[in-house]
Amino acid sequence: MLFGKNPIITQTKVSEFAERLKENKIMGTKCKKCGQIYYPPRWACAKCLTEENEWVELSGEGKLATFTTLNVGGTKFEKDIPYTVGIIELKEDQNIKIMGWISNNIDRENLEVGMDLKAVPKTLEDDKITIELIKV
Amino acid sequence: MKKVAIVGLGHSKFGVRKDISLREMAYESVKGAIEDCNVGSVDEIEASVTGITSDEFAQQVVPAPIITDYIGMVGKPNVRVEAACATGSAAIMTAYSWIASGLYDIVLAVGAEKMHEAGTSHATEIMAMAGDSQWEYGPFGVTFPGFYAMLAIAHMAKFGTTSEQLAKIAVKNHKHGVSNPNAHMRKEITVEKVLDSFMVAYPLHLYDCCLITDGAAAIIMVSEEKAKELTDTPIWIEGIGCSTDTATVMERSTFTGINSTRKAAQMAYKMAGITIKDVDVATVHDCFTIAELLAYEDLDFCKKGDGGKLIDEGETYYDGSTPINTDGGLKSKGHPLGATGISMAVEISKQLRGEAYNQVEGAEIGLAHNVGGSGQYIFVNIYRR
Ligand SMILES: [Zn+2]
Repeated sequence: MLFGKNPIITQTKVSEFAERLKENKIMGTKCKKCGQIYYPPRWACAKCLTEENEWVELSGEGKLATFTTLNVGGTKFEKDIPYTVGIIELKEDQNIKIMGWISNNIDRENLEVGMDLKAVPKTLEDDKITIELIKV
Repeated sequence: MKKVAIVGLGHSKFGVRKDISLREMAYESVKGAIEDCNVGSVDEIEASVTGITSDEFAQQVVPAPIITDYIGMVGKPNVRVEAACATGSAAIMTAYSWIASGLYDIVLAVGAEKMHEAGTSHATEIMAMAGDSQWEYGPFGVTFPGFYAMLAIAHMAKFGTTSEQLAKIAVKNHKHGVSNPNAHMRKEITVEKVLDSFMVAYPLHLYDCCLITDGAAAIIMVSEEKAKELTDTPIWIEGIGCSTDTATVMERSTFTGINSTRKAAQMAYKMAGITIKDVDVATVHDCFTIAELLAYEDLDFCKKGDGGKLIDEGETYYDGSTPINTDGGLKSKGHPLGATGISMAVEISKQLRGEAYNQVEGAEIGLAHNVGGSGQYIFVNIYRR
């Protein structure tokens, strides 16, 4: 199981992230020493330079902080245009932000900064999994 | 630290350069810089710093030696530096520290990039991979315009900034660019033309985005003793600020500004002993119109949220109260990544010498602001005549 539509960096200490998505869980990491929560997850804490981290489940629920619709993609995403991606700030801690594809069930015209959205895992073909932002 | 001056300015024609290779374009700018001062020949230059952002664009892994060789500096010290779209400013900072420390007295900083041959789609991908390819580009395909589009959406939502205001920035920079013979696109545009143009990444239109441009720029930097021999019009580097921000955009603490700009600016103002009110002319990093608007605010030319008002009032035209991007900016002049920071130094130096195309009367202190990526690197330099 790999994370993302066109995985580029796949060999990582946090590859478990994608496995947990498959279990319908969006995980961050938390430093056992200082308590810092990281999303995207990190193997090591940048503050303590320690690898003493644990996985923590994130609610995925939050408010849309920003978004865009791309009508030009890089070579890898040419066949996907137009596509819309956004970033939500989580309700439990607005400093934790999750990027995801805006679900096709949401009208682009109705997208508004501050609206409630939820980040959920979405399985793709070829053993890949990604994150989608859906209406609550 | 020793004082450091810029004494020689060289600038190639920016544009789609089908007539010339990367090394030849760099040569054009280096020759210009040598002829611009009394250094006489390349033999007098002790060392060089080369700014090239991408091996992919260069179609050459380890691209600096092809330039070092071509300009006749074989045998002399050279390093290649890279800081995304702020590579040219990284070259200036490196050369500055070599001279300020006393290691060398005469150093060439040359920056170049040849981008158009990659084609739009591949060029978009190369630049998108300057972002975090593990967490943002690979998974979500967010391009460079995409990141700035997200900053624009957040700014519009919080402060009511409009697409018309962004368009006015493009209109201004194109107007400035008409007078610059080295600019890529020397034509005036209108707000309507911007708003009617293709939507690249909502809310950014084609005319909100800089071009894909080939070009090179070079400056000769020297110690105070050498400056007296080589020119009557030295331009002093009084402040250098450099900061960095998170690799991913989603981890930024704000989407309505670029924090690293704020940090780099404070460092530069402090080192130069000035405030923003002392700055007479500036070049800011307008890879997208929203980037210029954010720079107005993050550099403290106006309050956070008031960037739209500043352009509405026309204050950032060369004859306004706050002249910005008098050479056409990245928007009209073009943005060959490795050359841009040095091109900015060339424009500010010309302004302070009184030799600019859109001259700001009596300019004494100038500022250059260069962003790498979407804020992963920031350089703010303060220059004084
Ligand atoms: Zn820690």
